[in-house]
Amino acid sequence: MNIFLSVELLDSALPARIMLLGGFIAVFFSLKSKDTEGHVATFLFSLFYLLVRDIALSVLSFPGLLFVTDLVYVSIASFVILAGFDRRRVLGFPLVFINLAALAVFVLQEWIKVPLGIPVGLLPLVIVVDGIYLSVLGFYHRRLRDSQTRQLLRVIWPMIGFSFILYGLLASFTAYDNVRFFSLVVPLSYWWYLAAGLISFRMQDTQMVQACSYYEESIDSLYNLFVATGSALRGTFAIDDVLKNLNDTLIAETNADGGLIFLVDEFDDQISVKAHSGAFPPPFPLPESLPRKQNRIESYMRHLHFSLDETIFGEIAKSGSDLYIPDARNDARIADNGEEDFLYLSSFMAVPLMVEDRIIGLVAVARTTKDSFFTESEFDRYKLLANFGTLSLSHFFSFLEAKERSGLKQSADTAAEIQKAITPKRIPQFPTLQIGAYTQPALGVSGDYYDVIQTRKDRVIGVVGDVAGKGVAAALVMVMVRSILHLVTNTTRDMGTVLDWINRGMTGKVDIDHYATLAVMAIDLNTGEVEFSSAGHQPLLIYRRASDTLETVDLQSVPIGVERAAEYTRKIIKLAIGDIAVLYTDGIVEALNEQGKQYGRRGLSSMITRHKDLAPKEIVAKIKSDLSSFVGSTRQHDDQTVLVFKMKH
Amino acid sequence: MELKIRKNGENYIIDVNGEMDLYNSYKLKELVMKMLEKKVERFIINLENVDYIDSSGIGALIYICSTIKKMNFKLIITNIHGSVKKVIELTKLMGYFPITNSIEEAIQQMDE
Repeated sequence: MNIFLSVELLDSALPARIMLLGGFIAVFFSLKSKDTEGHVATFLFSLFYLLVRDIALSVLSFPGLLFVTDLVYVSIASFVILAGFDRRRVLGFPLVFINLAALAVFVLQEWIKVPLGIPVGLLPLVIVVDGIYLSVLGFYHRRLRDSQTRQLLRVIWPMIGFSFILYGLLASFTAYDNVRFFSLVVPLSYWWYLAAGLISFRMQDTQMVQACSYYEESIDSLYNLFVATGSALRGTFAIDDVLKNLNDTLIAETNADGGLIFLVDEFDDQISVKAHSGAFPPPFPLPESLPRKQNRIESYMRHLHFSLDETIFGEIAKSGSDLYIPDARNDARIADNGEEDFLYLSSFMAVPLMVEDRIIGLVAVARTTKDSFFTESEFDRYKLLANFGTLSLSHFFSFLEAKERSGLKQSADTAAEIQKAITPKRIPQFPTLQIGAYTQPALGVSGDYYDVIQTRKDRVIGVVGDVAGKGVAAALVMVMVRSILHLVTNTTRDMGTVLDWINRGMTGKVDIDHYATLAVMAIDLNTGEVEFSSAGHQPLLIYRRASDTLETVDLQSVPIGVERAAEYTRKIIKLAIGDIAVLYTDGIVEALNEQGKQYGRRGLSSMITRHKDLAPKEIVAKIKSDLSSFVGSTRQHDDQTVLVFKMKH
Repeated sequence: MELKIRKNGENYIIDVNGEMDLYNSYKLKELVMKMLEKKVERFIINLENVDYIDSSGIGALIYICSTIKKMNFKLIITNIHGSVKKVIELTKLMGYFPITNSIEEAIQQMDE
């Protein structure tokens, strides 16, 4: 009787076994796509080994081949069990040695025929020993559950151990020579694969459900966060409210006892607390001088500010890295400030607030209950919330900026309207006097004002002024000056008195930062007599045709609106035929070119002498083009206005 | 520079607005001396709205501080920030002046 081979018996059970193995392989292939730890591959390897073995058994007919391949099968199974334990895989080696020894005995006794006197029926008991060894391995590692592979082992080790023990016992009992052994027992030794496969499916499923509920909760938290920060926008537009709501949401969503928000001060390289809620024991060493009293510590925390890199908070704001300290009591990074209850910090996490690559601040939460620690998943949630919180903060900042900008633009538009309304629509011309004017605002709205007023048949008044500042306030000052001027110019009093009146009308009525320089000039159309007065304005330029020279007429005086008691004087000059008088604002003489050089009175003077024969309109056109080629693309910061008068026949 | 006085219980809070330099530091000094004559004993100098201080400003603070200390009255300087803080740090006076980060803390400290 050849007890280790019986081809006829094998033939009957084989196709079913191969189909069974094929099904198991399919199960593990579908598990493989979601396997992150690689243990499914070891299952597949061992299943393929069994498939090859069963096919080989049907083709080859070595005596005892089934027993030899069983020894290999058990050895491989031991590594399937140990797949999740990197360093402990050596524990599989004793089993391999036992199997090698059994193999050696079998080969010597049955194939080489060395009489060792060991009953053949006892050899399959090695598989029983293997099964016991695998059970011990499984039992020993049953408490480890920190990975999927290890969790799977916890469940399947009794099945593996049991199936091998039973298999070995039956093999020994039947001496591998029984129809039922081949048709029932051998396939049954594969059944634990199915169990492992199904359990793996269930584990993947649970994991997915957990992930889903984690994300669901995260979405809920984010929703709460946006509702909280958004509701501040409906109220006051105050940044403090937004930060407080953000802080409260972060505390609520992480089940923390207290939270802080710091913002980085752009100019000072420091961070300061902008929101403080709940209890937040300081994680950094407190100054010795600070009394250890609850209310003192609390108000100290509420008004913290640090340089970047000072204390644990400053370091986070500088480095931009997260900090997760679950057990703050036993961590060297957290300072121990004393034993009082309100100084007890049990758990701590902090995350920087980043907009693109810029750190705008940081948030931190604390737990103060003994042994209550933030978990990893709470830390993940916190990071997520902090990132979205930064996003809504940065939107809020952009919104404030846009609001401010639109306000500025609106005010600029209004001012421009006012200015347009008070600028002369056309410059009057007279038989004996020609006038040309040019004005160019620097940034949308001009602070310059000019006017030509005919008060009598033979008297024309030219005015050029410059109001300090821009926008609506400056435009209103301009309107006031203009109204007073139009009211009082029709007088027989001199121009100095006119400026006195304007000054008295303005001083105290407008803010001191809205003062104006003003130059007025009354021209007698018949005689060419000019009466000039100035309130802190640029000197009058006069070109004398007879001598072909330029004169400047200057008067020392203070601007309008500064000093109520200021007294303005006047000068009388006579213009002859062909003489030119020029009023202008400092924007003209202080215009800068790309080299930072000023246009100067010299630039203006040379244009006048060069074009002395042209009409005033043409002279201002020449000045305009010369000035624009002088400054090139340099941005001008002051308005430019020039008013040219020329006497003719 | 503008000086405003507020009262909080026994504490007199002096809000300083503007720059503390050669031209106006004496005003603070004079004000404190006048208040001392009127038997004020607790001073909180709030530098929240001071963005610039020069050596004469520091000098005035030292004078005020040493005078009040000599008389065994109380003084706290609060809300030091920006370049003012830098100047005080540079002159190594952070330890000399009694300083808190906020008026709230100053009042608490006074009341102890």
